[in-house]
Amino acid sequence: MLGYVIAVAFLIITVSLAQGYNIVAAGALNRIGTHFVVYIPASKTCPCQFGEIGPFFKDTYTPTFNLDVVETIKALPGVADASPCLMFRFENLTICGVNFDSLATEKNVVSRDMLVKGNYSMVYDLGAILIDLVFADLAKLDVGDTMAAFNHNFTVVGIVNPSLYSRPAGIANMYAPLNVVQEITKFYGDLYNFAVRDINVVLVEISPTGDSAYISAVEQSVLGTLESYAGQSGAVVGYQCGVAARRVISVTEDSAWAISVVLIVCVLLFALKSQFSSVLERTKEIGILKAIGWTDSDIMKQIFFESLLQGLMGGIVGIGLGLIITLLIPQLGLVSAQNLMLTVSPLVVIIGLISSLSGGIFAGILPAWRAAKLHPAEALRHF
Amino acid sequence: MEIEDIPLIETKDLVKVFFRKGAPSIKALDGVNLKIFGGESLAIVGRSGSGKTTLLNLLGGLDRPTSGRVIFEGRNIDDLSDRDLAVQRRKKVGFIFQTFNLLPALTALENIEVAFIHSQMTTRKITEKASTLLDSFKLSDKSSQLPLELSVGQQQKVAIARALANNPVLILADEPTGEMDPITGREIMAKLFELNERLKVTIIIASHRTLPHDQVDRTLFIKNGKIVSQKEAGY
Repeated sequence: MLGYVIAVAFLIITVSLAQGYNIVAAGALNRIGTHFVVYIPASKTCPCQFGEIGPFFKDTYTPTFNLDVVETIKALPGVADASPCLMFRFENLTICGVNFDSLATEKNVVSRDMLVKGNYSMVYDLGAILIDLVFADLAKLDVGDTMAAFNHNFTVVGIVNPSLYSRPAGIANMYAPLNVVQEITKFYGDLYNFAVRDINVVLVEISPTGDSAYISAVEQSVLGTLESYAGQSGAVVGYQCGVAARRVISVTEDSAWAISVVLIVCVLLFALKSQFSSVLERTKEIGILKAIGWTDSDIMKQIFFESLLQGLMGGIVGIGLGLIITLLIPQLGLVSAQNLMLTVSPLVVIIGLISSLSGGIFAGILPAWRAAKLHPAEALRHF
Repeated sequence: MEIEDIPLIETKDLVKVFFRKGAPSIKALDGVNLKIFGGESLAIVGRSGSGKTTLLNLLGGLDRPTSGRVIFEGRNIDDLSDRDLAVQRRKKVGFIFQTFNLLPALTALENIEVAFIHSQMTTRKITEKASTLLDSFKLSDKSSQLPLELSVGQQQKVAIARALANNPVLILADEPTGEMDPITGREIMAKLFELNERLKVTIIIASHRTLPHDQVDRTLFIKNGKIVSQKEAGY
């Protein structure tokens, strides 16, 4: 019975732990989300007259298009949010114009969480900018400093360190409100005689649920919309870390199930061996029972129900033990994950009980049959 | 003692051979012909290995003959299925063993109750009957004790009480006093003969020692699986 208790308790604890970690991980992964950016790759009809100046994205100068497309993309099925972005480069300096209060901006470019120093909300002020941490270091700039760039005087209000998942849009040196960058772009367009429209990148955040096929379908519909607006084929730079990571994390739970199943199978085999040993040890007892008139089926029922009862009791005690340990784990600080809330799913409890009951049945049938077939006179001679 | 004319058990040319893998087979019984009548008390006397226990097992339906027949109340036991044979043992036969064969995990009372377990009686009735049986052996105060907590004489009394549970017509006692000192042994034998007298139950006792000639109706001497002689009471 101890085997059943251990196996069922182990099943409940490991699967609940894995599910708990999954929830914690999913929370973090949902923050990363599944997001991508769409843009029109550089073509022969580059909008910039001079190679070093113009709307810039992913190391190339790219065409611009109207802002209207953003609202249409935002309305597409599967799109959680879409936001405009204009990235402009002059010589070695890149400025990125975005709507700072947009979810798609936070996921793709820059967010409050990335702030290393200074203030994030002040970027709405005219002339206020955020600068990249590496750039700040190179340019010896700090919060409160002023800098002249793109024919403007800017005040550094914050230093940000964009994380890995915000890199699809590329790292800019400076981050400013969209209208500021649009003004700069148009100024240089007029100055160097090249036409620019509103934006050159659309930042997209899609609903967190769904697999790769779903994400591809959303990407295609977004690209189709961009093409219909801009008259040129777009491209996607995706960052599906959320889905991929969730898939990886789900392996943890699958592993917990697999390990538990292996353990249960081992326990079943052990229980089978134990039942056989028990029958062997009880050979004389079985002989006595047969001598006083127990039939083969009486003996079989006795051994079988004993095994079944062991499975049932082992399952019940194992579930109780598993529940107690599972609920105690976070309170005792036995896990490193913060905010780990462990709950035991009814499915795990049911599977645990069914497993131990099946174990009782499986481990009982053969030994019961063997016991029933014992010859009474021979069984009585057994020591 | 009144003895019925029709035998309770009859054996005809009874042979039992034990076949062993990789070893010569053993002929434990070799053409035993017997007639045992209802209410009779019988001793089967012989050395160890003479075939006493094998004969008792065949008479009680614990084993089946290699050849020959055991006719119990007019029915050849070889014609009975394993289940019918088990039911016959339950209803007609009581076994008493040299080593008592009580179930060690059960109390004295439970060891008797287990013999009633397939009756149609309620649990309460079973306990009542088992208690009465235990009381008839003056062991009421030992009812909750495990076999190992009882003396050998007390253990054998519990075994006899269990054998009587279903009012058997035949009691087979295999060396019932073999584990006991002479005084306790005599007490147990006296109890068995008292049952034979009072309940008119047929008793067959296997022993390696000859019992006092006035205690049993007949004594059969067995050697090498054959009945070599018999002696009746008073002779």
